[in-house]
Amino acid sequence: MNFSELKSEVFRRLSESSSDPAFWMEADIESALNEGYEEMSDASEWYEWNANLPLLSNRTYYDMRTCFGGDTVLTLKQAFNSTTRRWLDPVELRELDYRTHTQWEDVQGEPQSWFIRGLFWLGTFPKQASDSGTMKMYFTALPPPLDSEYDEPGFPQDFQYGLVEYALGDLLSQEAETKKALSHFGEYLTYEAGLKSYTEGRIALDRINRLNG
Amino acid sequence: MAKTLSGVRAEVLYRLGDSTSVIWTDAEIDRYINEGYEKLAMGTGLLWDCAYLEDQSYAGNYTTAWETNYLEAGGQTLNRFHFTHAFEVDSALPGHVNLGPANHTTLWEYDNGYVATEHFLAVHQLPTELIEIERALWNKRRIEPLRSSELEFADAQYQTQQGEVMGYLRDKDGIRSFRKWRIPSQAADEYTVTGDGWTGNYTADWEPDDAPTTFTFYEQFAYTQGWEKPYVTAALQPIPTSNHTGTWEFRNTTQFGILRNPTEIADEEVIGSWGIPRRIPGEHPCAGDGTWGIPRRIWKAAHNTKIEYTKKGKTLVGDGDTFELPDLYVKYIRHFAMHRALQRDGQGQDLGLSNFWKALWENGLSRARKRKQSLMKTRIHILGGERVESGRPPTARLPWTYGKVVR
Repeated sequence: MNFSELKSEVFRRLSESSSDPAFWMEADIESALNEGYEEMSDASEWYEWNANLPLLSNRTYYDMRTCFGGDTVLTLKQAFNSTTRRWLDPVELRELDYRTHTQWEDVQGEPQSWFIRGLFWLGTFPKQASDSGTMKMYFTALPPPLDSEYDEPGFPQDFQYGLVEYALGDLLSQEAETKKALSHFGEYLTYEAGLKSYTEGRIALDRINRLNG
Repeated sequence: MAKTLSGVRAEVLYRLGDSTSVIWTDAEIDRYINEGYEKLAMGTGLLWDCAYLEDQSYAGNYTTAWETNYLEAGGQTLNRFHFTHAFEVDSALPGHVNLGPANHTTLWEYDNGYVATEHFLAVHQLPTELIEIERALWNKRRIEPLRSSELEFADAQYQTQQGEVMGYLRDKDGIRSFRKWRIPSQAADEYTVTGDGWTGNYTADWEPDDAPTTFTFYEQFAYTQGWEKPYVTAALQPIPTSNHTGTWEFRNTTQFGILRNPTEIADEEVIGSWGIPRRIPGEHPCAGDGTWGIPRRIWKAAHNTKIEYTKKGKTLVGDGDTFELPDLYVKYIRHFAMHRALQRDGQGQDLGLSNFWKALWENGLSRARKRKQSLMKTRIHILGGERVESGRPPTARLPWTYGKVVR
């Protein structure tokens, strides 16, 4: 379903004309649908993306709120050093402090390991000695909002009615239609759980898990 | 563009169907937003920062808090102190034992070598926004969190011992205190700041040629105040203002302003091609993301004490105040404000919807917590493989019989 069809569905369920709405404005519907799209993407982390991070001289920490441009990073998954052609190891700070080098923050070289401070600071060890090279970062992010009439949500169609349910819940709650709103929000949560399960279990059917496999 | 307080307040009121603030006042919604902001930070530890508890000779220029309002305009508010020598600590008034010693009142006294005995502060007050210390370092090495009872046993003189800082205490000296063990015995490495301004000590350009060679000539003098410039002769107008005749005078009077020419930095690679200096190579920018602002700290990380901590966001007061969070996480705060607004007694109360927004808020919290812990999930662990020890090695301790009579 594209954005236009999603909006029409919301109008239909609100008993509103999509071409000449009387009570709800089209902007309200669009905003509510995008709100649901963001909430569903945030919960399921279905949108996987990557970006190049330019390495800077002497810098250990990179602020993920700004260094990936407009992308809102949800979870950082992997990092690849484009110069050494190696994947970086996720590392705990205590390993660096106690088992690597007591003054590891002074060590310069091609980054081999990465770690996170708080939720937004990406650290590398060692730190790059000059402004050169890049790391390709793989992460889950928020998808761009639906804008054009032909934009479609990126996840499978089975779950797209979740956006309609969220939008209805959001709009009706603004009018103090609590019972109706909660009923739609309840439906929405089912779709959200479904998409989450789908995202996490993409290879579940085919894979046989075994120890040391 | 980060969201502002007024923007989020408007979103909350719109969703509550009360855009004109008839039922919920702006101030009430602001309170809920700030409460949610604080709870999000405290519940997830998502904001991180670092700060330096500087190892520098302790200068104090007031003894009680109210005096700060009476300090000279344009001067610096340094530190509070109550005694001037280490031996006085035993005679300090109750509650004042950690305020000092300080034996000089301005920084230039130390910078110019007038302080014969350096005293370093043992107990610092932590930043008010700090939630929890994640890691503390001295000289870029991790130092250990210790209990006072451990130190009483291992080093009875721990409150006065000086040397390398190897650990810190958070108990005994107050809820927001940070006691260094041992008390630093040397000042942190620092950049040498130059910038003497225009030191005019001769008035005619022939003077340097005819004067005795023992005299050091700096610059030609023309006028002492900026407004005098139009009144001096045209030939002298290009000469800058000069209000001192010796270079040391300038250092002693100018202890604030923008860093101009730290000599060690001048030898370093210049980052960027315009504007004022922001980032010093090899030093971590603190208090902010390092992409803006001016360098305030001219002390290095070497031989200095640094803390890395989770923190609360700055309380939002003005309409234009922004969150230190991406918009996605601000939405969680909005959910919390909706929950609180619909929960409170009186007109507008709707406990059913309030619980729904509360559920969305809690989902958001658990997502943020999960993301913070997600790093190690990408690591492959193999049974029987190399054992990864994440804990610290055991701390060296004295034998249990140390100092006791054992039969």
